[in-house]
Amino acid sequence: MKNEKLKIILDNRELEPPKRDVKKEKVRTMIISGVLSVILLIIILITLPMTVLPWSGLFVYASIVSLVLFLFLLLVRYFTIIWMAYFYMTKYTVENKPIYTPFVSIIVPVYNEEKVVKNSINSLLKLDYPNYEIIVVNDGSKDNTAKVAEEMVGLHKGKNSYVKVSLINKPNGGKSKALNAGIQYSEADFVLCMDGDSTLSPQTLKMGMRHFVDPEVGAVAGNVKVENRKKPLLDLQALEYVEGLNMARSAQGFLKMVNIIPGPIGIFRKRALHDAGYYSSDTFAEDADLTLKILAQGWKIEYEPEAQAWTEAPSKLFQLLKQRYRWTRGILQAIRKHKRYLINPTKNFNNSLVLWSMVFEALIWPTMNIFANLWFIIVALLYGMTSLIVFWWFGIAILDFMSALFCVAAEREEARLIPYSLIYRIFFVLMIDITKGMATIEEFLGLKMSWGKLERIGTPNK
Amino acid sequence: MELIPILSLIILVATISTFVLSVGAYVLYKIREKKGQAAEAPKPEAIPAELITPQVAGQTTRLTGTDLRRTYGDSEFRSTLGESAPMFRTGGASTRPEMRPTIVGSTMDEETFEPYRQPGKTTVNAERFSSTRGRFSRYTSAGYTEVEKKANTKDNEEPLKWR
Repeated sequence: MKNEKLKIILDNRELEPPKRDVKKEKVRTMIISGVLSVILLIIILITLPMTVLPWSGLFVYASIVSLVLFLFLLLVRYFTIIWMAYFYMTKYTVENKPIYTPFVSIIVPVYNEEKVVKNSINSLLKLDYPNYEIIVVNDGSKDNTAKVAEEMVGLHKGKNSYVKVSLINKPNGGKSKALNAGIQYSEADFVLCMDGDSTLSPQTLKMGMRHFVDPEVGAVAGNVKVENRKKPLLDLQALEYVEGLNMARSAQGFLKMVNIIPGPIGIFRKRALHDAGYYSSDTFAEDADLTLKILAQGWKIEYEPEAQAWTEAPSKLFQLLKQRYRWTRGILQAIRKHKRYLINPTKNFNNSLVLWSMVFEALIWPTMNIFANLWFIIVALLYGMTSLIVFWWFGIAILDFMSALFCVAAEREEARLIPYSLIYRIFFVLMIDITKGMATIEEFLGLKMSWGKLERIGTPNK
Repeated sequence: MELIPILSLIILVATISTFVLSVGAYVLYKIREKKGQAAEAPKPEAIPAELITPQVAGQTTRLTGTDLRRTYGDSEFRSTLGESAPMFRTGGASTRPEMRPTIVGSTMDEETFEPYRQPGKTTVNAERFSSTRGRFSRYTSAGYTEVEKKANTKDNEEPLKWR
């Protein structure tokens, strides 16, 4: 069968971001922080003469109060997420949704992915779904991606039907533009957006599409898993995806308000995408931005644990921190873009709730973690209270071990990931949180950043 | 030897090392990033691209279920958007991105370009659209409008091809 080569013109416009007056914002920040500082100073000046404690006693007292508050928040956060995830899993197990098989376009944006694109497309041909096509969008790759992808164009025998694979070659413009190009070309009512380096499990579409029977569901977030493992840093990331990201997503799925549809796998109703104004390229987390836009339009977002995308995680520390730096800044940019919902809950209460939880996870929680660890270092080095850090680690390790056990069992994951939970918080999360802290400072200072691209080594097909 | 002092030492050293490692990695990251700074790409309203797709006209209904495909009318979108309705960077008449790209011509050699012919039919250029309404519509400032059909146009003379 012959392939047809056509010249096309793509609409490159995107949603106008809310207008920002940076000067006004800075003045407002200065006024608010100034007023709060003055209030704090007045409180200190009034209450300090009343205290009977010496300075060292005051330090210990303040530390204990802060620590108790931190522990309270930590336990509330942990148990809220675990219980909601548990409720979701129970509901998911009990409820029986009918099979729904409308036509779906799978959009695969690729940029310099010559090593993995064939593997990705082959995984898509094994999907257990009768009615779909694949649209590969080559975003101006500089390597052989175009050639490799073109070899895959045609009609391929899928598991249940023939699957059409098309390719769009466009000049480089970023992932958002590439996804928008694919969505423009697609004529389906539903699109699945993924990463060029991800592979999907065969049940993905079949399980994911069931949720769209509910006309209020605008999107379904999938379950991202780490494909390349067997190294400590990669195993820690695999545990993080299971314990940190997917458990939180299950909890959000219980409320049908997932706050980030992951880049490697998201299924969208095209009407919801249109309402949201498609992908925008003005943040570094286009997935978080789009999710918030969809939620703002009143659509529900479900989570489907059986819609699994296997992705290649960064194997080097430098690449990992680079990825997390970009995620953090992108999420902060997305939050700032939607801050009107943050300030005014009457506009869309669900969106306000989601945004406040994002602020907590992206800003408050990492800061608290960094300061708690710094405090333990200071009391150990200056006051010789070294045993405190052991009890701290022990308490946190038990919590992490419990949630790792729950998540690994719920997701039928590898049991060998569980022991990593003992070093997960003291090493991995602290490192990630410090990077988040740095990225947050840079974002508030408005320093420029570039997108960056992870080097893929390509993993053998599963 | 007591366990708690040993554990304390190990955890303390691990925590301090993690701090140092993270800050160091961040500084290295910033240094590397500065070397690779690139200028921001321009953002035109429309960009040319190339589409490579298998020629399956006439078979697409069976193969990919085009009977389920349709074009949205503006009325089909939510009317409750209000002030939060998307506003796009404009320049032309249309205020929203097109739902599908415009095909401006074939990049294949005309001699080798053989459109698929269904048995008993002369040409099948647009058979894949199954809607009973006008087959093509275009976004304008007034919403979707039907594209007028040209009378007696031969396929080889058609200046604009639509997908």
